[in-house]
Amino acid sequence: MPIMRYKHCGLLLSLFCIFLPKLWGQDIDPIKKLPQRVVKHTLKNGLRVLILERKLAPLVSYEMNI
Amino acid sequence: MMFKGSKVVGTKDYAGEKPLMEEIDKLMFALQAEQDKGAQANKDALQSLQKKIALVESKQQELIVPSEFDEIYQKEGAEGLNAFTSQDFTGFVVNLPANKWELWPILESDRMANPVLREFYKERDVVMEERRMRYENSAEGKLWESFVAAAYTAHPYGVPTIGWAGDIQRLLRPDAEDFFRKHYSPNNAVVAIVGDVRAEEVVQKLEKYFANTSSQTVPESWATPEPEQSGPRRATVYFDAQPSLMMGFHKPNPPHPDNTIIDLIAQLLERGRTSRFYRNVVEKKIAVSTWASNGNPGERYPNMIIFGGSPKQPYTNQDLENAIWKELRRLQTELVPEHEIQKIRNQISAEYIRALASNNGMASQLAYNEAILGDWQYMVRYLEELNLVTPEKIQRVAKEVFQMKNFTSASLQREDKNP
Repeated sequence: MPIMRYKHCGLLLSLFCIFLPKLWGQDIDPIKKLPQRVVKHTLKNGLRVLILERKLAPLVSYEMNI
Repeated sequence: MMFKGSKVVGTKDYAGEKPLMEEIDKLMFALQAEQDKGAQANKDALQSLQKKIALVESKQQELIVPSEFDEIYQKEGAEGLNAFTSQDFTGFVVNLPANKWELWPILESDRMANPVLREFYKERDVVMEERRMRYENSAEGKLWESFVAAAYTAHPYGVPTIGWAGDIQRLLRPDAEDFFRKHYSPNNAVVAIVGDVRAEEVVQKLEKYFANTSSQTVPESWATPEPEQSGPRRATVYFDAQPSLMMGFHKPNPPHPDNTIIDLIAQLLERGRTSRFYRNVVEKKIAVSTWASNGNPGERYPNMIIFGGSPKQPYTNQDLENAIWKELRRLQTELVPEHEIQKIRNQISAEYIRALASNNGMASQLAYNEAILGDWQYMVRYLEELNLVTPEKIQRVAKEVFQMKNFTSASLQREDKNP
């Protein structure tokens, strides 16, 4: 049974190692890749909208400046 | 004021409320006209008008649903709902659970199209109270107002963001509504949305929800440029508090590359216990505290780098000013070692990137750079510019900016009753 546990640990560790750089990448270098990631759109009424998709947590932040 | 709702939020019956608000406006106008007579004002008329206003306000109160706007957001799990003003812009912020993201365009499009400035005169009193607390009865507030008024003789940066007391007291609801219609239009706004959303879906839904708001002809954003300063300016404020000093210099605003160099200078002088101010002014017991701040009063127009602090007895504000000047002159005459620049560069970059790790930090920077500096991508260029700062560039900027003809100071001290 302990071997099974180690097996699972190995699997989890592998998954962690695969996805960590992906998650890490969003935070470690949030500046350089921004021009490719930020979507800019102007609505028909002239409101300028900047959208950055970040799937790290199920949350959304808004800031409107006038 | 902007959390007071709209024609459908914050009210039980807007149709019933509207004539009451108009009645209050008329009575307020009459009250103001009577008050303007000064010593000639009819006291009975003033009292009668105040009673009538209170009566109509109490009738309107029965139709108001207090804090409904906030409650709708809170019930859906929102946090951090806030609004703030600066010299350059008004900001509105909120964080929502991803599955409730559409609440923002639903509520904000309604608020933008149909705002109702209900309880306006109560809020005006709150602003007056805030002014008293933060400026008139505060040593820092009084010093700041005196400093910017001395530094800016023509540009509106010399006027406090909250306004002068006399102006606040005269502001009527129709004037505020008119200002809102002209300036708070969608084509004068930028919104940044950061988080667990799909950009394509957001664009589609925003077009749908904001279809009820139309663009307006925004008045040209003209601000009288501040004429070049031609000599030192000094203001003195008497206040019963420990002495303190502010001194500053006009300089270019971002995206001018010299602004980045001045950011670095400010940090070099004041950041932490290894900074030049700390080692040479605080540790030598000339001052209790010192600080430096770049980018004041705003960043949309040419602005200032400001230094300040409180002298430690028996030293005076003049001694502190001399000590600060000594450090500024050192920047003009000696090249800053590269390792000292690199330390500050690392600190600024780390802090900047850390602030962008949160969704609201990122949204704040995106919206600010686009709305105020004209291009959100300036936030990318800023760090690149920081890497281009050299000892020679620091010396050149220090020589150009830190000149006596470009100098303004404000000194807060106790009044000498026996001069």
